[in-house]
Amino acid sequence: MAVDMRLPTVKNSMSLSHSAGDRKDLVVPGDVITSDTGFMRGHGTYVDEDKLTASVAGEVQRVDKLICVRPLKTSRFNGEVGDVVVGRITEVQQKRWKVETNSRLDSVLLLSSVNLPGGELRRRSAEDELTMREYLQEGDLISAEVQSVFSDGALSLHTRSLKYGKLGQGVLVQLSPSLIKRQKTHFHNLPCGASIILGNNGFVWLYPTPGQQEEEAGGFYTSLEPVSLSDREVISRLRNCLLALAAHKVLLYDTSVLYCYESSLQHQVKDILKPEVMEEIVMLTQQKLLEHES
Amino acid sequence: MPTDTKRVRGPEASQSPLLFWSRPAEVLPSHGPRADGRQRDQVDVRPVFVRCGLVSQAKGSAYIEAGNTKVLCCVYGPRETERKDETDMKSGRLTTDMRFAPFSCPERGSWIQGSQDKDFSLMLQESLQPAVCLHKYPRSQIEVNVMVLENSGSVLAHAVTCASMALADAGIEMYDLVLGCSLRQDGGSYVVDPTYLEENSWRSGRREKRGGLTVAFLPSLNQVSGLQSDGEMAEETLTAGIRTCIEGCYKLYPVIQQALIKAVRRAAPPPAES
Repeated sequence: MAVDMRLPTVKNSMSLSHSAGDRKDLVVPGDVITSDTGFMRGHGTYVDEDKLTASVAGEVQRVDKLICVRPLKTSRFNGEVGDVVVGRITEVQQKRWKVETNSRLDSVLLLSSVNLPGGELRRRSAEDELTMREYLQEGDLISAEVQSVFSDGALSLHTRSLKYGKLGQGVLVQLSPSLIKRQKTHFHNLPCGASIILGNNGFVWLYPTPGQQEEEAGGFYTSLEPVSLSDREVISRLRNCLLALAAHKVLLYDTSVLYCYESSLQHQVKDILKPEVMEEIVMLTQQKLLEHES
Repeated sequence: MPTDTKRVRGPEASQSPLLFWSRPAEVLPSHGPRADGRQRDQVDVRPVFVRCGLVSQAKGSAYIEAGNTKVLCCVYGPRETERKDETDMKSGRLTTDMRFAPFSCPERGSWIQGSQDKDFSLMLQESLQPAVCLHKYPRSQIEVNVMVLENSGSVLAHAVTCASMALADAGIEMYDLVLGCSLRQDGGSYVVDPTYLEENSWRSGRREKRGGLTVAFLPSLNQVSGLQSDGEMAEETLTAGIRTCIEGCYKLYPVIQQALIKAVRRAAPPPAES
């Protein structure tokens, strides 16, 4: 087994991530933003004796009369109705499952919000409650959509569509939720030979493109057929590309992932994780994205 | 800190060499400049080195060095907790844990927590709790773990500062930063931000007006969130000491702000789509 070792060196500050201008309005908790009472307070602020004060460390954003502070690491996912998430079952409770989705509280998947196998629309009986574990167990990965948000911030999910459900063989990449671009659809079949689900919560699922698969199973059928080597290579390369893009804080959507894949074809899959190769690939990707936009 | 008892002990008839090791009693003079060149009776805190975001596995982390005192803090959370009682449903919980590494003090300690560690953990929690907006995190738990890598005096004060920076680095909403400063009163004079020797040198003789004081302070709101004191001090000395510590906190405030802003600039997410 060949091993690659290198000594640590001082890394130059990544010139790729210098975006427009120097952010001037950075605050820490306790900093007074303004004493003007005409402003409304948004997230990350609180009012103390007519003084609008920041409660997180981040940059101040002003939209007309609304002032909010965006924290530096949006590592917790704040879900909204309609978001597509990829989550892992952590608990099986009475009539519902608890799903971990990288948010502040575990999300809830009610038994009445899933499609039962067979796709029938029937009332959930006591038998269904007892056999919940046969459908989804602790440790299973699912893709779902946010149905509603509880008052304390927990999300209620549903898989009431054939495209959501239990996920089978594939690779999960955990990234920051702020890097995922909001789009019309989060399920993509990439032309390079794999499929991707970009969950809004930062969890990205890569899996081999399914062939002609029967759909009546209602999303609980997971194919356990062996995945071919070429598919595995494509998925590994995609995963390393995702990590490279995330390290350079590039917004992730199907086009950017595809361009990054194409730019990385000249390198070996394992070389993509080296810092200098990462920089090169991301630079090429950003160039292509700029050309594409103009 | 409890000393290590699991090391290999010699034969039963033997005795530890430490019994015979006569260390010259370190008597620090109570007048004149201090050993490291700082001034007595003035708010002369040690220059600090602060950095945020060094531990990648934790949600937020901070590292502080003041002289030889080195403290590292990691913050995990907010995570969901099981609902034990009604109070958990409305606000979150803050758990703190402060540990000394066995190699941190001049005498080797053990990894098992002693009573001093538990006391410090409790004081840390009392100092940090008023500053965190726990009502915004119902049913959640925030864990703060502090590890002292080297104890060279005023450890609790620097641990408080480090912990509040780590909380800010983790993006947890707070009313204000919490800064800590400590003081040692020796007879008629005091030293701010004492080193390990200054804290532990005991002189026989006069016992009045000798003690230590640690203050945890919220600079923007001008509130004291934690106060710890030991020894014997008169009331005026105590109030004067608190005022001195508050001044010390104000001296630290700009440095901490700059360090946090630097961390924000480095970790800034990509600009949102308009």
